[in-house]
Amino acid sequence: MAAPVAARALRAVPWRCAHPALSARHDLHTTPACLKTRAARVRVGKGDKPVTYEKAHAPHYIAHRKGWLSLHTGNLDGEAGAAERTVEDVFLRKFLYGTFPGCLANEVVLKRRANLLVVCLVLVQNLAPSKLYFLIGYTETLLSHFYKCPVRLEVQTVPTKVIYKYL
Amino acid sequence: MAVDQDWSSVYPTAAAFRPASVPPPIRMGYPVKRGVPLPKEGNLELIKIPNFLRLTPPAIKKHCAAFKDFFTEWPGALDRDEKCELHFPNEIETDDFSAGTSIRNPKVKLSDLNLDDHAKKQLIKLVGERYGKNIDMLTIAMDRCPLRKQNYNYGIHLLTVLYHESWCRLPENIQIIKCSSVGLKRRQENSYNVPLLSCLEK
Repeated sequence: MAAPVAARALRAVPWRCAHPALSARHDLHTTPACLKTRAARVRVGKGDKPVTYEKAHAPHYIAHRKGWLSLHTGNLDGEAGAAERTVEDVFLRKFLYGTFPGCLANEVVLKRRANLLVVCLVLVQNLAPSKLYFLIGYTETLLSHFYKCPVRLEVQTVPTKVIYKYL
Repeated sequence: MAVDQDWSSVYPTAAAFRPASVPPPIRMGYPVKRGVPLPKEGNLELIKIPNFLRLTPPAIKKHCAAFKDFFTEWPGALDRDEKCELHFPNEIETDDFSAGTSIRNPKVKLSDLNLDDHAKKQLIKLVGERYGKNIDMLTIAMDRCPLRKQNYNYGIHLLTVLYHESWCRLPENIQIIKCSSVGLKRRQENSYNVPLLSCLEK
């Protein structure tokens, strides 16, 4: 994510700033480039970079080789609240990334069933089990109070990250 | 896991896929070249999809046995759809998950109501877009009241009032010119106020 942002910042600098002596005003209004062909793609390297199944597949494989990480009815016809669900998803992913430091083996799967929010995690066995249990209970309680809805965590642990291939 | 373990206690409710609890060695994913799909341990694709592991036939039998006590037998005379429609022409649809209030949609087939030609035309004019011509069904969507029962009672009351109003003959100089979702407008020479029309205002 850092590389495209940096590239976007570079392209946003207008050429006029590099030549302050030029007085002609060419008011060209540009927007930052969108870089759609580089989104969510791990660039091929020397063959030593391990990637998970999720990262190995580009966005155009969604619904073909990949499923969805967040399931809710907000995007159906006539249903409201899609934007709110997306904002909640972003917060939840950041929160979980920070709460389980270095333990997340893969992306977080979020499922919403009426009022209930089910968070499915795959964790690497880095922490002691007692610490893990504490963090799970802490997350569930805090998120339930924060979002005013029951939050359930379904955790799976693996010894190491599941590698799909090396790029 | 023992072969004769009770599966409905392993998955009693809706839950994500747990590879340790599900014995078969399932694989899922697009394989790499000359490879096989990923195994079930830590497989995110298996977690993403909804599963019905809680609904095996023995589990469903158990559910039915559990709430059999709360139900009575289906009346034997109503063995076909047409008979149900004949005796119970009103259909009520309930929708509970829409922004708090529960919507009730009482639906009724106009041919089931006792309407002569004039009354039918008047009823159709009164309800406007709520009448579906190709299916001959009048649908009233009720979402004004907070409780389901209140919505239901109001819907039935509206249906009754509509039925009676469609039979009454209006004087010559008064016509119903337009029905809209904002309210019904009537051109009137005298000030003739019908309380019904305000009921259908949204």
